[in-house]
Order: sequence, then structure tokens, then C-alpha cells
Amino acid sequence: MSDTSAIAEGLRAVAAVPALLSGFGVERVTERDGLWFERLSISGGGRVHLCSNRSFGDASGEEIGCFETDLAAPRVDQLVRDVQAVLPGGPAPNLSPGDVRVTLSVIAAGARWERVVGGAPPDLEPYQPLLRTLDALAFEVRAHPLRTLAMELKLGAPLQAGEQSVPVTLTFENRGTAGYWLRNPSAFADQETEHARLWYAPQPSVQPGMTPLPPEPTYVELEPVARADRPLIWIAPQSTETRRFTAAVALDQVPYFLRAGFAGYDGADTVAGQPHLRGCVFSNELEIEPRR
Amino acid sequence: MPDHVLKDGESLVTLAKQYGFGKWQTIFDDGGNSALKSKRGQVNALLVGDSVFIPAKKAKTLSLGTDSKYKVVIAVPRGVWNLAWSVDKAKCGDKVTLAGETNLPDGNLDLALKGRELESPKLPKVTVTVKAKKFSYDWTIKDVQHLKDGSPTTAFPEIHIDATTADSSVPCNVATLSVQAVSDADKQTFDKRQSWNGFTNHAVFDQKIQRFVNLVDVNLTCLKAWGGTHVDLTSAGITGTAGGCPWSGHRWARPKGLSMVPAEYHDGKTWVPLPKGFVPSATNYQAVGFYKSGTSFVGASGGTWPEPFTDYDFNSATYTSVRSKWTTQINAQWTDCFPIRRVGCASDKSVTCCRYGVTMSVAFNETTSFGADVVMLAPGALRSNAGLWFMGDTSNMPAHETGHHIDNPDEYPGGAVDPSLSGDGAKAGIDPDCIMGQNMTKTKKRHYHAIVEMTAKLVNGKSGGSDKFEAIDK
Repeated sequence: MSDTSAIAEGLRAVAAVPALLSGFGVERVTERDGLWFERLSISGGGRVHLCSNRSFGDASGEEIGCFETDLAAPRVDQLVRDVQAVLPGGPAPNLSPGDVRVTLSVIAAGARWERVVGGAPPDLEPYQPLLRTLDALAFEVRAHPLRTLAMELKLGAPLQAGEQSVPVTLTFENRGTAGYWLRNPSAFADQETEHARLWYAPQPSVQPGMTPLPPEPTYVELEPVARADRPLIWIAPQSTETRRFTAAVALDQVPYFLRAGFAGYDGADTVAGQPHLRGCVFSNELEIEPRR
Repeated sequence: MPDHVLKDGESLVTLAKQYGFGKWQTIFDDGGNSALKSKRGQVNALLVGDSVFIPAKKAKTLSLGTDSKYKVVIAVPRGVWNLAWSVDKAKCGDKVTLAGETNLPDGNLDLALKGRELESPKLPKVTVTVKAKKFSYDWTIKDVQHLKDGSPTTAFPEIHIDATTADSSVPCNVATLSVQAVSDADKQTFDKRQSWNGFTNHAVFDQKIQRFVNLVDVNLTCLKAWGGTHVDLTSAGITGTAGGCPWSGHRWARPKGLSMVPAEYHDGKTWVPLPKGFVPSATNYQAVGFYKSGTSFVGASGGTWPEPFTDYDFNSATYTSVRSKWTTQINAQWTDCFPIRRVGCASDKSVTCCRYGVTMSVAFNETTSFGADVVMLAPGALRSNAGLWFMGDTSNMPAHETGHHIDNPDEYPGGAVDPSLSGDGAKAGIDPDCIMGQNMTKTKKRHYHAIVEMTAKLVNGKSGGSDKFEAIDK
């Protein structure tokens, strides 16, 4: 029996026997390059869980972390039907490692089905009924933060053209109902997996009827005003933590985009049993024009 | 008496016997051989073709009394002769025999092997057993050094191994074995198409051997390009096609600011904000490469961009520097990760005989037309993929894609995977922690398989052999 026939049989059983629904599960794992990872899972009991360590839009300012909510039973039933609608799935994709890889997996009545999807629109098309439902659920669950990290960037002084050291404030916010440990940005040595950086790029000049070249940002390391010894900071539920830095930037007399980036990938997912939020988040975007 | 020109197998012992001398020293120490003695130094170092002066014998007069018994002792010169290899030419791994004759008593005899053109410090110390005036030594050739260090190195495709007695006072002819190696081979092209997971890969590269180093040339054909995005707006109620985007419900889109996320889409007339409530996700938007064709900007996977992109200088210092950095990155990823050695070569790792290095040399060659195997290079820092590299992307993608040019499949789910790959971290073709895997990290021995195959082809083509080669640990 193929995995498709097995899962089709499993889904029929789950739809027919309510007792089997509690073991039903759908998971979507989205990942890229070892740095981006997001897991969305929905259980037969209706629990929706989303964990993201970095926005796939990258410098989008989107918060990361874990989110959780519950679905009403009819929506779980609909999810079962959405899975049935995409069977047997599409042809094997040909992804490059630079592509975002999406893995769909389903368990129903002991049958397991897994597909890697992605690539061009024709590759995705066979999965769209399920993918669109999952996109909608991912959007919904983000309204129910469990442990989240968003970052706000503020500049402590107006920027001027030329070289300067700018005071920068980063505020880390947890909108969730649970706290977590976070790598302390005031204790970082700048490296790929652990850093606090200020990214900036001249704004492209926009001419009507012409698509501008994308900005090509550069970054400088954010130097903590007071370097910390302790590697972790506690971000309590529904609270903020602020840290002060300076950034040595060299700017021309043109408008700029600016964002801060925080990466804290090192370590495990827990510290002495307490949650440890790992990943990368970007701040809000500032548009500035340096003064002469 | 005319000089004697040494023939194969002759030593001063055989000459002393032939010309009736009780001691070979009588010949060697004669003033007529002072030049030869100075040239060769030792009696066991004379070579075939050396001219030996045979001195005139001196009469010796003895006055002996009558009615007495005398014991006359005639001295017999002792030494080794007819020392010879079983073959004239051989190569590492061949089995050869060194045999000789002697009038030394039964017991052990030390012989010395020495590389003539280049020292081979790892050559064996040979002790043979003399029995009934004969001896022999079987040797599987190894540890013959063919490469001299230096900058540049000097290769010796032929090394003469001279064998003689280790004791310089024991006369012996010098037996010479020519040990051959392939140090250089002319360029050949690897060109192979194969299918993994239903997807065809075209691997092409040139390889030659120079001074025991495989020089691997990979040419990447690149095309000046621009990056755009398409977004699937079906869930927002958008249908049909517009603005040159070929997929129903999809539209061309572009970000604003530093984010990669599309902020606006082209509705067929102009750029408008994304529909309210629409949330871009990993599966509903994707980067696409565009190249210029006439006045149009054509998508690599179909469609045309709805307006011109701002032009840029592909060969500016900035973008040339990006390609230069990629070149360095790729070459470092693939150069000298593992030596390639003949299977069965037992030589020490300090010896170069069947052992070859690898130097990767990648070149970006600009083309002006799109086609198969063309990589599009675009400004920006969006996410690169196989055919579209963003020049602001710092990932190891170029080194990964070069891996395909040397015949390696992907090693991550969803790629062009060869499920028969296993071992050394790979299970059913998947190994996250390698250059062909999702994390694009280290090179593994299996990734050299095409270079190994070419090494065998180049070496065997030159030597006429059928040796197998393998990548080994350093």
C-alpha cells in the first residue's frame, strides 16, 4: 500500500470515528539555510501551535516566537478535508538549498504521509487547498502570543552626514503569556549566530515607470554602552527590556533606510528547564535623511 | 692492456677474477683508475659503461728451498655481481625482484636502494640472505618520491632506483630500476548528464594534471539580471493574469525598504499595495530572475516584468568584486579537501608517487543570452536559488552550485537527490551537514567522485594502466 492510500484510509477513519481524531495531526515545517525555521502544527484536538525563529520576510520587523490557540471542532474537520483534497500531492520539487523548503506531514489513524513542497507555482498548485488553510491558521494563531520577541529601534540623536557615533536604543518586547531567557545583546562578540547590528542602505531613487534597484544594506555592530557579563536576560511575559548601544556609521547626504537586527541562535531551547528563545529578529524600519 | 668497459652485471670482483687478480683493490687503487675512483667514490657504485683500467700484472718471484713443503694460498676477491632487477621499468605497486650472485659466505647481506634523481628517504633498508652464493629480494614498489618541494615544485616522472651493497667496501655492480609515475597529463573534459529524482544535471568541467596536482576548471556562465518577485494572490480573490505575470492569480510584486517581503503588486496598470488582510508567507511569494531581451525584461521561468528595471554596470568594481569573492569562496571550498591516491598505493603520505592534489579554479564567463546552465546574477540581497544569485547574498550557494558542475546531487529533501548515497553522514541521499546538503557546509570525499574518476582517466591514459583511485584523508 502506498503512503497516499494509507493516509487516505487513515483520514477516512478519522473522519468517521471521533475517537481517532485526537491522534490526528498536521504539521508544516518551513526552513532555509539552517537559519530560518518555522513549525506550524495542528492537532486533532484543535490545538494550533506556531513557533518561528526568524521571519521568512527577513528584515520585515515581524515578531518571532511561539503562538498558540485552539480551533473549534468543525474547523478541524475541515482541515481533514483539506488534507484529503491535496492527496496524492504533486510531483517531486527540485529545490535549491537557497529555496525555502516546506515539508508537510500528516498523521491519521496510524498512517503517516509527508511531502516536501515548493518551487515554482506549478509545483505548489496541487497543495494549495491545504497551504492556504495553513497560511490562514498561521495568521490567526499569531494573535495569540505565548512567548514572542519583537524589537523596536530608536535613535538617540539626529543623524548627520559623515562619520559619527550614534546612540541607539533597542527595546525587546514579549507580548506573550510566558517568559523566556534571551541571549544578552550587551554581552555579544559580533559573529554570524550572535550579534546586534544596525543595517542601513541609501534609499533608491524612484522614477515613475521604472523599477529601482533594491537597496544593498551594510551593517555596523552595535556596541553596548555597558558591556554585560551575564549571557542571558529574562524577558518576562507582556514586558519589555531596553538596552542601549552606540553605532559608528558613515552616511552620505541622502535618505536612508535603517533597521536593527538581533541574532541569538546559540545554545539549546531550554536553560535549566526554562524556555530559551533563539533566533533572529529585525526591528521596525526608520527612514532618515542625515543633516548637513 | 685496454680498458675494460663494464657490462651489465659486472663488478670489480668479476673483473679481478677475469684478469687474474687476487684482490680487486689492485685494480681499483691503481693510479690508472684515479679519475674513475674520484667520480664514483666507492667500489659498489660503478655503473655499466664505466671504463676500468686493468693494470699490468706484476711478476712475483719467490725463492723456495728444496725438500720442503709449501702452502700456496691464492687470494680470491670477494663481492657481488650480476645484481639485477627482474624488470627494467616498473611503477609503484608493481612486484619486482632484485637478485644477485656472490662468493660471500652464507648469511645476511645488506643492500642499499637509492633514488638517483631525487632522494626517497622512506625507501626500505634491505637485508638478504645469501645461500649457496645466491640471494634475492622481492619488493612491492612503494615510497619512491617523485616530487621535490619548492616553489614551484619539481616533478620527476621517472626515478632511477639504484641498488647495490650497503657496505661500500663490498664490490657490487649497480642494478638500476626505472620507476615511472604520471606527474602530468593533458586536459580532458568531463561531460555527463544524469538524472536524480527526475531532474537532469549537466556536469561539465576540464581537468588536467600538472606536477601531481589535478587542476580542475569549472566555467560558470553568468548573465546580467534583475530580481523581482511574484506573489500568489488567489486567496485575496485575484484571478487571471495581468502585467505579464504568467500564472493565474499571481502578480509581479516588489518590496519596499530593506525587507524582502513584497509590499506592492502590479495590477496590470500600476503598482498598488497588497490587498488588505493578505499576509505574505513562504509559499505565496518567490524571487524570480529577469534578463533583458530587446527592451523587455524576461522572467527565467516565464513572463515579462511590467516595466524597465533601472540599469546598472554589471562590470563595475562593486560587482566584479562580488564575483571575485565568490571565486575565492568556491575555490577554497573545493581545493585540496582530500588527496586522491591510487587504490593500493602503500607509500607513506609524505611521498608523492600515486598521490594527487586538487586545485579548483572557477571562472565566471559573462554571456548575453539566457539558456540552460546559465546563472543569472542580480543586484540585491534576496534569497538566491540555483539559477538566480543575488550579489548581496552571503550564503555558500555558489560553492554548492559548483558542486553540481562536478556531478554531485543535492543532499536535502526536495532537491535532486540520489537516494543510493549512504555513509559518511548521508542516509538515503540526505546529509544536512555538507556542501551539497541544506546547510552547505563541508566537502566530503564522495563529492570528489568525478574528479577521482577523471584522475584515473588521465593517469591511466598516460600510463596505459587500469588503476583505480580514491579520495583519502589528508
